Amino acid sequence: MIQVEHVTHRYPGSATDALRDVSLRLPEGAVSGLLGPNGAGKSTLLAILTGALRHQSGSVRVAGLDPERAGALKTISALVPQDYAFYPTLSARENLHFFAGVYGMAAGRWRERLDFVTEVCGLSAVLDRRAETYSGGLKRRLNLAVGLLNEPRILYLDEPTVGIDAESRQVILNAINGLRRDGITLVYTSHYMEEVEAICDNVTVIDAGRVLASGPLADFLADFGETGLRLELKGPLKALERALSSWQVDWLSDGAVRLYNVDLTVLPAVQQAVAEAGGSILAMRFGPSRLEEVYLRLLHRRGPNARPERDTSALQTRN
Amino acid sequence: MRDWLMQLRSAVYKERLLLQRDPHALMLLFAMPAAFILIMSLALQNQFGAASSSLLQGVAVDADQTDTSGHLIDRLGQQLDLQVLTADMDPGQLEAGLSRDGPVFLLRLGDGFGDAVEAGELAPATHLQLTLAPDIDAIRERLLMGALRESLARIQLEALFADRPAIRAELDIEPDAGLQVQYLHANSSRRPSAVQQSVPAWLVFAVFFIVIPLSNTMIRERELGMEKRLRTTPQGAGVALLGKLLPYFVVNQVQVVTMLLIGIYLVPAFGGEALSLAGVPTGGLVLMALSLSLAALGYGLLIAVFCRTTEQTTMLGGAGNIILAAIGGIMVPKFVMPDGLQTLSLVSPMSWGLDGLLVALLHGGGALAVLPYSAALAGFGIMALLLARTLQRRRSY
Repeated sequence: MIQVEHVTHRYPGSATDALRDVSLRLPEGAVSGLLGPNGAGKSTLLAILTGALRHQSGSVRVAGLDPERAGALKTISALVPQDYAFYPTLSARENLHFFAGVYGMAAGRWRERLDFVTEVCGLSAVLDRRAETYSGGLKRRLNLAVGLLNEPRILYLDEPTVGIDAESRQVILNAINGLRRDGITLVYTSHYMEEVEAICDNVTVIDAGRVLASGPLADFLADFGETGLRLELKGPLKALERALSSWQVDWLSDGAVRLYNVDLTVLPAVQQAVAEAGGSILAMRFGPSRLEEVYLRLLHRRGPNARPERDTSALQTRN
Repeated sequence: MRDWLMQLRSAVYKERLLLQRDPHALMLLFAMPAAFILIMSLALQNQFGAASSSLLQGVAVDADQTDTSGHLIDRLGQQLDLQVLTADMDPGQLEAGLSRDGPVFLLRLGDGFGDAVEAGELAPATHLQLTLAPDIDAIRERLLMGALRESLARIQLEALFADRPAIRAELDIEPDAGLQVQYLHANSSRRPSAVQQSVPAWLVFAVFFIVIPLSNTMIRERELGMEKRLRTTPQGAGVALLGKLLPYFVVNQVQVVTMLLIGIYLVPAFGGEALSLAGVPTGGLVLMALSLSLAALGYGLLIAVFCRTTEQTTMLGGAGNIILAAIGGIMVPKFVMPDGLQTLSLVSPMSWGLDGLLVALLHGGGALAVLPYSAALAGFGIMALLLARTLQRRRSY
């Protein structure tokens, strides 16, 4: 169990808090997604949870221990940072050998763990090549391999699949699913909502240092999502916005729009409005909200007809 | 304890590999000071070399062609590299050829010089005229004037006592016959060579250049996110620091041995004099090598903490080293500096290092003799390390 109570942190010289009165509970053995825009405070929270950063107020307990003081916690947890945090002029084997020494691994265990992480992360073919020659995907895999080396019981993954090819993403997601089956506690940050929706049991949304919502994914979607019509549109945006302004809508990414509080009988009228605005409907889906839609609504990233924010206090205490 | 040792061993292993794969750093640490030692030893060979013949080159035009004028030229020739030309050479052309890199003076002995000496009636512009190159340095000018005055006095005395053979014979006694010359040097039978002076200077310079690769690797670790990642591992900050400094400390010691070997074997292979370690106690050298490294590593760590980018470390470390070297007597010997600069040189750790090494290599000083210098260097290094650690702890995530 990871328990954060009223944690506030402000970096020296900054005018605002990086984290402000943050409280959340992440269950043991689950995959918890940490969502939020850039600069929301996700990496700061991870730094505090891993003991790399000292928080200024509140309390943090990871597996019942204070990460700042419990050195033992560092042997059972690991961080896979957003940066390629390894030495580019060393090979994967040399990098992993270095980290094995950092974790005080004996020769037998090191060999065993090396075999495991190279297999899981698909690095066997490039193990003795300098990391600087790797593609972005291979670098992400090595970054993950370093994090898995000490067989952590708690693993923090900071955007582990950002900017990589489909094959490497699949390798990393397979590895994460394997860890999930093994009961490892995973804290996962990502901007890829479909990934989070596919692998996370819980989600926490942070913005401007504050927790907007936190809880099991299913409850999150049920409490914040609504049944509606999702349309993927093509055409002049301004005209389309005007044409659909009589419905309650959220404008999503890539020209998609979601209409709330409607049923399928509204479809002919919507099609006509879109056509009159000079646009066309490329695809449509009727059903409950997806994570991305709920997430964007929480962050107030909506069109002119946005509805008022819902009270999130009930969800925050669900865990 | 076992974990601590494994962490240290792994940090040293990593640092060794990083350094091995950084050819620019190796060039900076070994090739650059080696080249400096070679070039400066050969360039200063004449400055420090015994009885140099090419130190003062000049041309004499003898229009008098008498025994007396010939005698003056012979005497001068014993002390200087003198080329004697016949009287019909164009003096204007000869004057145009005077420069610090060739003949620096033109001595013209006019017709009637011999008669004037015998009569004791030398007229400066008529009988003897000295023209100097415009860029002649003060030391060579003084040497020339000394040699010329001594030779002139000698032939004037010989002329004066030409009719008194007993006194004339006394003049042939060499004035320095009873003089014993001894160099205050570890191996006092030999004159300290240029390499004996340039090896310590560039060795100090080389050791301090560890600042650049050391601070660069630290900045690169910060840029890569390694510093943050390592904070989430069981590796303590002390072990990480020790693991980083130990390999560079070893590199510093290898530099010292390499620079000494270059002085002993490479410089003579290029025609220079060899560095002699005969009579140099090992204790003094070892103590200086250890304390120099400590000072350089502390300074490097401080630079790494202050700077944010590798460009900053290269600029601050490189420029800082050059300034410390310039005021510390590495590039220009301190004795030629004005008093103010000589006082300023006391603040440069390179000056302490150079003075200590000269005590060891030139005076044969042992551990006790170099202790003040090595203690100052060690003190500087420890203070810099402590300051760097304090600043690093204050640095935010």
